[in-house]
Amino acid sequence: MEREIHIRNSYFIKSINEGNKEAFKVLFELYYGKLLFVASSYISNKEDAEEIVQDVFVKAWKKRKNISSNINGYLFKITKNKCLDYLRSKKGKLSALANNASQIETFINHQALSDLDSNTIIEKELELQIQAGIDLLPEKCKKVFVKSRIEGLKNKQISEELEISIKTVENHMSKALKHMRLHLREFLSFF
Amino acid sequence: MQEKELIKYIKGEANPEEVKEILKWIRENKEHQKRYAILKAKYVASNLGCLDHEDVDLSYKKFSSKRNKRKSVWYQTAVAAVLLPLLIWQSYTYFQNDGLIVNQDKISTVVVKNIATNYGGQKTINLPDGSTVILNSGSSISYPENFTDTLRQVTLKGEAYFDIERDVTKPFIVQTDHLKVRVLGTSFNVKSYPKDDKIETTLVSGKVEVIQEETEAPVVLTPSQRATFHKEESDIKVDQVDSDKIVAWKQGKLVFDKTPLKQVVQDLKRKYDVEFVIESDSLLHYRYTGEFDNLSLEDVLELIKLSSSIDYKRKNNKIMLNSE
Repeated sequence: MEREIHIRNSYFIKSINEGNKEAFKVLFELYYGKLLFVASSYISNKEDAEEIVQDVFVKAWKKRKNISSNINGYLFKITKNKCLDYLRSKKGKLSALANNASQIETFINHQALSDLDSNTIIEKELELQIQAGIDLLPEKCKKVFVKSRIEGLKNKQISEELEISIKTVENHMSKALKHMRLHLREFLSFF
Repeated sequence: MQEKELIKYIKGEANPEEVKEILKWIRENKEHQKRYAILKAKYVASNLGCLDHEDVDLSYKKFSSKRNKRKSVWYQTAVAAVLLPLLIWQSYTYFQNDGLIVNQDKISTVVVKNIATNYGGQKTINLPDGSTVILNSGSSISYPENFTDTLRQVTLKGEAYFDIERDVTKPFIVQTDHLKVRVLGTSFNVKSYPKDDKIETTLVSGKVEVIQEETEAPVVLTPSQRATFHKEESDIKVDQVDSDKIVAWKQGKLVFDKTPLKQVVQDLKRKYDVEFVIESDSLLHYRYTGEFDNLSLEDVLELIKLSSSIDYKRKNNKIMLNSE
């Protein structure tokens, strides 16, 4: 598959560093659901998992100036560490006394998420899927999205460059954003 | 163990019997743990491409409001900053109309700020001299908008941690119901809830004097010493403590060291905003030792139950405590 766009694109990262809320919103829309799925795979309490991923983005926003090119690895690492902190706090408490299934699960999930090879598997696939999500946009729509949100061109510049009306640029943009929100089932499941 | 069975478990489709088997198998050795970790990671990775994002808008809104939280506190302060001079001006003109001659300086010393926390809450306050106060749950503090030239005095109900800027020309005084704590510049903790039967002052660094209201006799503390004033006996006892544990509440921790259950229950009530009833008399003299690091109320109760002979029941939003 051809990879034209990169979430590591320097303009996009620069916008995040500078606190551009639009750019950060794109990042949120791209990653939120996926990071939530990762977190809730290791944390059984759904609300706590949501809280954790919310905190991930609050932290990423606070530290936006430090985000370098590997934004994917950065977000994954904060999520992982927050989940581990959470599991550690749950694990530490009653473990000496109680011995029920949910506690053992907390314990083994903590171990599983600490495993570096496992981390690599998830982190890599996460980036591929984010990329794929952008790649699967219809061709024109993708061009507009990339020029606007990743390269940072103004709607007027895009309309001139692609020889389409500003109105069309706007339509493509809203279609692209909608596409980001809905998710795609095109990928073959491993199982 | 068959891969198929593990996958069934990872997908959450195994029945309790199977779960038990699988957990046992995973815990057997490192190799099994590794196999489980990798398989789980592959499952998580393979599902990343087919998720529904329906409520990402809602989630984003939630995130936005979290991100802006700090701003809203700033906004409130700004509003207060605008309203306060207005208030001063109003009271000034009010007094003038009444035929009283009061100069504006005097009035501004009268402007007292009062800050309170609810049960379960905590606030950090910056005093006009650059000192910081962290106010624990169910507490209040009042202090003048501007300190006078010779004295920095605040009034405390409840518990607070003070980090005081050193200023030898202006002593800092914390006024509580029965005592005064006088310092020059230091950090210390005062716990003085009206409902508790004692007042505790613990020094973290520097030097403080604890002065009993009636006798005016000062007790001087050195770091890691705690002065406990018993309201009934009206006397002060000093002991050596781990000051880190005393101020652990700042980080959301509750630490009890042979603490009477009555006191434990008071602290829990303030932190979790819930009523407790000690049902059995034998528990009144029970002393509890334990640490709760940012736990939920449920977890705290479970832990108490597991580590002592205390059982609990919920009844009409109250927690009833009984000996087992």
